[in-house]
Amino acid sequence: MDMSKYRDMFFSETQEHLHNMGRLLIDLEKNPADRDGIDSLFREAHSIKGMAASMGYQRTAELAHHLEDALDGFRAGGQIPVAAFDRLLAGIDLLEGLVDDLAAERPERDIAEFVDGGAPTEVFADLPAAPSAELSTPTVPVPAAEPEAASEETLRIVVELAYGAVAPAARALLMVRDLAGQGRLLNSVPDEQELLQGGAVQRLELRLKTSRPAATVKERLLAMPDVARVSCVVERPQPVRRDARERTVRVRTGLLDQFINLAGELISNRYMLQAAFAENRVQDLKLGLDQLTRLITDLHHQVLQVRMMPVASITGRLPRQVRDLERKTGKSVSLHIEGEEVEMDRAILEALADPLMHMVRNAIDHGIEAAGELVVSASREKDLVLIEVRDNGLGLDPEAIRRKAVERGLLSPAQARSTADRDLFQLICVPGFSTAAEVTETSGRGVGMDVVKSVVEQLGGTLQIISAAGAGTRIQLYLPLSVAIIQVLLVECEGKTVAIPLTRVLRTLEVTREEIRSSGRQKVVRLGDELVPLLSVRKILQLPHRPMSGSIPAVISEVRGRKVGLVVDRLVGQREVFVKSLSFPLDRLAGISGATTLGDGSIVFIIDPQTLLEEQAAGSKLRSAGGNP
Amino acid sequence: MAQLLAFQLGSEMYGLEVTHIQEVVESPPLYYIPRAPASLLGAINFHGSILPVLDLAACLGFGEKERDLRIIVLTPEEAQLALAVSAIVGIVSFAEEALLPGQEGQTLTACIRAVLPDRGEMINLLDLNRLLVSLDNF
Repeated sequence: MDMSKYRDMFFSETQEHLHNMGRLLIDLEKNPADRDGIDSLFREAHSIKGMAASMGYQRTAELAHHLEDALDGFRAGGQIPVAAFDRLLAGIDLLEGLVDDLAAERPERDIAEFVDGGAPTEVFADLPAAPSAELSTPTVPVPAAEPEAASEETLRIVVELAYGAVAPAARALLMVRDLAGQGRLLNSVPDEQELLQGGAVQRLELRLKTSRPAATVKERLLAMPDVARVSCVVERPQPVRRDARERTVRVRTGLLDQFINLAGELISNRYMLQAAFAENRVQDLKLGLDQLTRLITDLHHQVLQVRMMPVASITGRLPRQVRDLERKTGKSVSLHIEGEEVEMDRAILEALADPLMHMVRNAIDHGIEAAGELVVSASREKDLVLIEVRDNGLGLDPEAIRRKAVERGLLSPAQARSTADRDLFQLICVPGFSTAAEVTETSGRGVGMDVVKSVVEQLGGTLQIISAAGAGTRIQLYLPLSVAIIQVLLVECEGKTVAIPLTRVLRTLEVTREEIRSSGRQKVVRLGDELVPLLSVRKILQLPHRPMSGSIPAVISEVRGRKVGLVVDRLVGQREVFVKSLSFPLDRLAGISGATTLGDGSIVFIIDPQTLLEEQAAGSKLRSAGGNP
Repeated sequence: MAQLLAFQLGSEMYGLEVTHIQEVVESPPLYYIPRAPASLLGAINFHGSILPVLDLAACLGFGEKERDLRIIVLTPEEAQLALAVSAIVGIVSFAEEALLPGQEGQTLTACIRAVLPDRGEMINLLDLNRLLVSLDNF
């Protein structure tokens, strides 16, 4: 039997059950004798067990069964003992780990330690033994997993030696030996024997099994003399299987019925158009086309509906996270989640999951004092969704931010005085900008807010911060409902067309030569009372240079909160396009966020100016570091 | 008997099992990919899918400039990728037992899974897995 279909269903459903379990447990912790809650929890564990057993996922089934047994005992006892919550939560974490293993097609991780009560408190030990006969597959002992360090990976390393290096073979030999000391060297081309014979070695290719991160190994190599270039990537054992796990969505049957109705209408529309054409009735042809336009709009709308998911799919984990943070910080936080039923495109929600957790963590670490309130809310505002994280804690201190901004050279003292608080708060989204007096274990305020902002902007949204000292902080994310269709500006350089999302464009303008000033070695143009640096898109895209002449079209965009002018050859125009996300290997190219097909079948890639500029900066830094022997 | 599509890369003969190939497309227009490495020639619009075209000769270090205008599109199970080669030769039938192991070292750098002797010539069987891993490196 082909199980792959069921596999996908298993993952999406198990994920849902696990979310529910986490949520139920947090609720139960406040009310441990809630009979209905315990019943629901039991049912969730039971469902996971049943599904895992029928898929043949033995350890997952065994662990779910173990939890189910424990819950059955609690149900008989009328409540969950306080001491059991940590262990139940740990059990859910372990189940999630097992599901991750299965999704990645790894063997399921070991659960014996947990099941045998190896966890700190043996709270399950004295519970009445529950009937275990109903497990559909017998739990046979599973062979222990290989005692391999979990984080060990195989790195594929290519070292290019600088041209004209003295005794390159000896250099290479030293590198091979140094690498061998950092793990297990699987092979090397050329190998040690060949290197010992000397000769002109230009390139060294190795595979190294090590627990060190690729970046560390790479840095160490780059620090060695005569190294021109190093590439160091983690080898994927089965690269072609990377997308094997199809994503699935659940669709309400009502929506499917609407699709069928639409298909029916389209068919009758076709007959109407055919008849009108055959009998040459122009008026009916026009009528039919109008109807077709409406039907296509409907269809498009419905298709987007299929991608929608409730915000609950990412807020589900928050109660658990807040509980853990309460423990860690010793603060007491009451969490309210509002508007979980609001629906958004699943791609947007998936991208938002981490930023949301980050904002919550920030609020608890730095906003809320000993006790406070945290509200996470979602609401529709016309074509946008507003997601807000609001705390009633300390609030941001504009004066502290002003001082810091001047200290860091981000603002001149005069600018700092004249900047409105609202704009000032945006500075906490500058990488590395932190106003936390000390960086706590979990986070420093500002650390990570840059990531939140860039995710929001990549999705075509905006971020606002409202705060006053002593009156709490509100971080508001305005996001589009769907990413699939966006407005872009098409620009041309060297006869090549690329698209810039309109959300990234502040305005366009034609600059004359006389308006261009030079400041330092940077060309700038004056825009209101701001000097905006001009950057050549030809240069950014590594296309041949062309001297500027006549009036120059430029796209004003914002990169890391600063305005920049992107100089192009020609502004082609604005389009509404359907964005296609890219799959391997195109998704490996930095600075390209997607692609689209225009009406004539031509392909245009959508660029993200911010990432492109950062990549360019990182690339030139790397090159200059490698070029210095 | 399995079949492979034989093609030239520089002066060497390579082959790829036809089961990995979805279609060979006659000179499709190539579109610009911003900031792509030189070994990516551009993207093609293949029935609505956007596929990058990899210059296999350049990618494997053959300094050959000659290129067949036909493009080999891989099956989507392998990767969303199309290959350009120096010249497409044709279909060759072979028995799995006739394959010889490639030389150690060469198999790594030149992405050769095995070698097939064919009427006095050698056909290098492309190691698609290894090729895809190397693309992780962009």
